[in-house]
Amino acid sequence: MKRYFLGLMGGVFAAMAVIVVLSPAGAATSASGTVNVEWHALPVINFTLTPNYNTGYGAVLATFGTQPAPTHGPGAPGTVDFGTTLSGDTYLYKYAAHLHITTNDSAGFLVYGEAATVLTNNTTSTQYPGQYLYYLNSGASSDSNTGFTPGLPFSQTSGMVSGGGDSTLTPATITYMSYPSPVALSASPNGDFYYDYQFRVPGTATGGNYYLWIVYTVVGE
Amino acid sequence: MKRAQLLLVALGLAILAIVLTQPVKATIQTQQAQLVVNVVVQVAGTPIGYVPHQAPGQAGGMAIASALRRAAPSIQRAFSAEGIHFEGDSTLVAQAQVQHSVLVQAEVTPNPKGTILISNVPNVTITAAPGQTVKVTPPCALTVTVNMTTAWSLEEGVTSDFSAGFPGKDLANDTYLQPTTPKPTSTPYIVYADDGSVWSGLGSGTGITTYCVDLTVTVPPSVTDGTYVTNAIYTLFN
Repeated sequence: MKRYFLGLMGGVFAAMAVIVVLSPAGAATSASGTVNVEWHALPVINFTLTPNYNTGYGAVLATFGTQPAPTHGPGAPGTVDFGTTLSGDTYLYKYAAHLHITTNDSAGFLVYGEAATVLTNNTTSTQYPGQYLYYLNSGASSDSNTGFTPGLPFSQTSGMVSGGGDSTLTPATITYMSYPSPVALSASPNGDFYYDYQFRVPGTATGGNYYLWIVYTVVGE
Repeated sequence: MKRAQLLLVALGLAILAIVLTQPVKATIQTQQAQLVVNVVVQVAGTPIGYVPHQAPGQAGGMAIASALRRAAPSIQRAFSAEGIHFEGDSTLVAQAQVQHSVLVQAEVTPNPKGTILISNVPNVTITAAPGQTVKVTPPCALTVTVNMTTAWSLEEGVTSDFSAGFPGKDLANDTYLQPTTPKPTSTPYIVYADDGSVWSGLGSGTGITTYCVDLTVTVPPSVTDGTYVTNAIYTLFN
């Protein structure tokens, strides 16, 4: 009985303590107010990059008039492989890359595309600084571009590059301290971008297997 | 009478020979190389919007929101509540990005004609406002060199218009032999896509020759801000 009484009193005191804690201090003199709180939730971005996204992909020599049939090297469809090219010539690679992007960001997104590596002769390890790879808009299933259709050059990144040191090693990634100019943007949450590439082979290029990595980065607006 | 007839026949044959030899001379010309120079016009006429710096919060302020108006990579939410206390520090928002890469490769074979027609730069970028005429400086910023020691001829033009409302003819060139001085006027480029799929003659020679090409662009007033591009093409024949 005594133990029961002590237990009961303990419960009462505990309940009172809880009430005291939960009660506003000086409730009679306190003022209530509102506060606006803002916070940022990271958008969800889904991004799929598909090289050689349509049948008929491959490289054609820059030619006016009737266009030759596209061909490609053995690296396709996993890579954009122009196959055999001649130094000094210009080639168009049809259906090179499809970027499919969905986000929950109602403000849309930005797409950055840069060369992570310098054009490199993998056979001799000779590098060719400069802008030799260009991109131009293509279509999902049709493409009227030629090797002379105007395009824009991929810039060499000033970001920190990891991987991509060799065509057979890990894919290149870029860590940005600040982003470059975007290659594309979307004001809506979802978007598809289709690109052809142009390769202007350096006139002084020696024989061998050449490669470079293009890195696309999608950032919520 | 007979002599006069003979003279007429001879004259006719001579004229026929002259007429016939012209196309023959044209057809025996063989294309040796073709050079592409990318011409990009950045049209920027609208001032960049100024985002004023936010005033510092009052002492004891509840929260400071800090975000770049343009580049914020996150989704802003808001709600109202009562009786919540926050520290005054701003919160660093992590970047949300997804990255993928693609390998581009080619098997290059050396080309004996790979360097017979070259330029010193692959691209020329010009920044101009709508309605403005801009000439690339300094003079001779772009050069085109023919590295042939036998007879050659060179033709030029641009492939297409910059856009529907920005004709390729709005790009003009003052092309002169290095090291001579620039000419007083510039000549609009012929546009291959609009002008009957032909190029215009630039010059001919029998030795190594370098041309200076000073570009001038006139942006129509109706052109909106953006990036516009065409290709200047130089074609070498022997």
